[in-house]
Amino acid sequence: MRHFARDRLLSTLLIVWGCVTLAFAALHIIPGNAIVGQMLQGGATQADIAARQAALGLDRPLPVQYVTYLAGLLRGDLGYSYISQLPVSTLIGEQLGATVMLAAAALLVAVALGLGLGILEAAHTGAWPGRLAGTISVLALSTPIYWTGTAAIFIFSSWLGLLPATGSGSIDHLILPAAVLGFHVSGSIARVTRTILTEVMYADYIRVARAKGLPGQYIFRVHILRASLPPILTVVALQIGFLLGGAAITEALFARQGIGQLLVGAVIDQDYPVVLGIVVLSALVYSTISVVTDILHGILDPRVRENGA
Amino acid sequence: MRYLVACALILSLLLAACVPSSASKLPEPRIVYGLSLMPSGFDPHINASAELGIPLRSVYDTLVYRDPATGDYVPGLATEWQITADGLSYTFTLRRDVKFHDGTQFNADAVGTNIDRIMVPETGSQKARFMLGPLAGYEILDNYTIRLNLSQPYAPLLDSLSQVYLGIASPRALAEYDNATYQFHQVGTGPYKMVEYVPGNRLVLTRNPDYAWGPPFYVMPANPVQTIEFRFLEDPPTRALALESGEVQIVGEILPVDAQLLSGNPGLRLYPVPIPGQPLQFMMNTSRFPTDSDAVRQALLFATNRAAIVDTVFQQFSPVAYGPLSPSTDYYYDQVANSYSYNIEQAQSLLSAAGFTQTNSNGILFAPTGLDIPPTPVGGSVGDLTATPAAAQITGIPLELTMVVPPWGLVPQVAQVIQSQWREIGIDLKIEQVAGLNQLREAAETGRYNLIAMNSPGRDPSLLEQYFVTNAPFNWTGYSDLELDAYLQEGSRQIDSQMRGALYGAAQTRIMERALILPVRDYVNLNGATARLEGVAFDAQGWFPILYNFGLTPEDRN
Repeated sequence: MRHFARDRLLSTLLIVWGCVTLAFAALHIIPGNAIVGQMLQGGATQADIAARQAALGLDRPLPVQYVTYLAGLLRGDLGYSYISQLPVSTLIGEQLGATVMLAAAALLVAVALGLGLGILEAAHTGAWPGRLAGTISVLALSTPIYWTGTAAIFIFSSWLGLLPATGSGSIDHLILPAAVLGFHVSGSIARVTRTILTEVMYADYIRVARAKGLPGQYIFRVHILRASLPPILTVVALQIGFLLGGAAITEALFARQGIGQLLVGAVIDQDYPVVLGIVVLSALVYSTISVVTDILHGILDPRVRENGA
Repeated sequence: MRYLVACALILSLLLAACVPSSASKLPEPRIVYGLSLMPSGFDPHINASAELGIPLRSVYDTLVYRDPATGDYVPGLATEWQITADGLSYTFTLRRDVKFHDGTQFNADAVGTNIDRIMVPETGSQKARFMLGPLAGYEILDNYTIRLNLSQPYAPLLDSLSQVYLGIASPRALAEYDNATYQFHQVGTGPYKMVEYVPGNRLVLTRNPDYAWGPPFYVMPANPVQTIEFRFLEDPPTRALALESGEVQIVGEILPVDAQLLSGNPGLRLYPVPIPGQPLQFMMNTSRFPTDSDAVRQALLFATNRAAIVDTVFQQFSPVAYGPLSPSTDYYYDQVANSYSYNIEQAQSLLSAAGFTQTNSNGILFAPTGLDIPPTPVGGSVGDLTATPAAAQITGIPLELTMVVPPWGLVPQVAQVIQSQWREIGIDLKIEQVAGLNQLREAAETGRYNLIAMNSPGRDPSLLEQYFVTNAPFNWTGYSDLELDAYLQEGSRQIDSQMRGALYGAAQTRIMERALILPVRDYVNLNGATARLEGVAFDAQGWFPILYNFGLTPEDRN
């Protein structure tokens, strides 16, 4: 277990370092930054801009800037936004809660709906409930968040007046965006659930169980579902990554605050310290999720536990 | 799994409880104002966004104001001002009865502190500092008199001083907070006080009960709005939906199609506001083939049916633009109106005069350069010789153009209409869309375009200097003309308004004579509001609402 922890910590560090380095390189290949853009717009001369860049240390050679950034990162210092001049950690901190809340609620919807649809489809292949579930899951996969979101606002907010369409702050504000984002993500969970369940259902040991005369319900719950859980868990974990991306669109659509809005704004404004900060955060989130998934795998799948010990 | 679900639910409930509910203790009536984007910084002395002025215009007062109806300068924090004949020195007499929201007395020192803050490089001002132009310094003559000294005459100074970016902040608040945190605790003298700003979520203002020093066009309504919560509605279709559902009482930049629908709703009112400045236009690159030819540029203007663009994309809410300035801008020259009206024959004859006389099999015009005979393959067989004469064809340079567009303001849709209009007469237009303003500027710097979209708000025509002078930072036409340079540079320095009028008239004429730009439509901000909202008005810059005049009639209870 100690080896496991050490290896995972090391690989997490490597992932974060790799992401930061790639992002740092990519952002500096593109010419210009927020300072140049904002100041030119305001009517500054080249000399004014150069002075400001020098004041922020942006005139130093790239390797120096890179090492400075990494050194800051090790101390937990993400730097300052070029535009608002606030610490990046403050900017992220302000928005993190809202995005976590949206992502958690959407994940809940996605898992409940996705598992439900997948099971229904696998259990009733060919019959109408299976076909209906299949249609819904394809619909969930193939309709963009923009479309479902606008439709949901139109129906539940403008037309029926049940829920607020915009803003954040209360549970009421969370329901529509979480449902829309969760619905979209549920599609892939449902598809994978169905595929895995169907695969397991025709496995030899299930045939044996049937031959033993075990009741169908029992086989489904104990043998099929249990064996299918680990791969489903992996898909769900992968979807959490998507949730962070999908949150950007959902946040814009429902005028919610959050990391997604912050990221999109920072990319367009070329406010690179903010972009890098969010890259670091995403890398950490991904690594953490993959560690948690591995641990859960161990719990759910005895074979993994034995190999890992 | 069940436990996991329960935990997630509890966690999200807890988080929801952590976010404080909106300022409900603040006085009623209260409205929600939808902003169309979330500025990354909210400090008017530092940041450059136009959106920040929508709330903050009413948190601050400025030394002077501009009457939105006439454009005349009227007293603000200064009751009067004298400009020396050489235009180098402005003396302002200040009001003595003004207090900041924190109780600090307003005086000449306060103005000096604000100018100092804007001018020092450490503040990192992105706009305010450049609006002060060649400001050399100031002298405090007495407690309520301040003189600004310039190193050379600068005609737009009063217009600058009338804008929120040069609003006067409380010296005490500026001392208390640093440059990064002041934006959360802004203190001015204006008709509204800032209550809180939660990035990405809301900015809340409440009426200043002591306010008694507004300009003449600030008119107290019958049921004054007391509290205004600003929210950020970045997705355009959401704006009209939020207005219809009553979540916001007023919102700007509604999509034209939505505005069309809203105009049929008796509970809502539409306020289309023309924005002065440079209309939506495409700057034509005079240093790249084929737009380096005057005839080609003029042909493109004649070949564009701008009325059709305004009809289809803007639902007739925006007038067709004909020149580099829209009619609501100072010194707009009306002689450019209706120039280059849609005329396909004229476009075609100009193009053939420019050498584009042939049409290829795809219907694209090209300028023939001569006969092209494919080379006989080296060591080829005798049989190949027979094929050679038939393969000979006229070759030439096709009429291909590249257009760079930003994603906002329905410019991509405009580009598509132009593409199909030009295709009819054999012009092949390629559209390249970029992500934002910075990316647009970067595309401009590469020089690999024939047309590039821009628009720029501002009441004073000196903004043309940024775009049409030879060494201007945004000289995206690549055009250089000493006479035009002189008109524009002199226009910023002349303080005599008749002289300015003549100079800018000449500049606008020259820009259109040489067909440097393809103007498309005057920018009109489509605001929508509930019919209960009274006194909806906007300032001389068009963007900024006069929140002092806002009143909310009580709901009918029958």
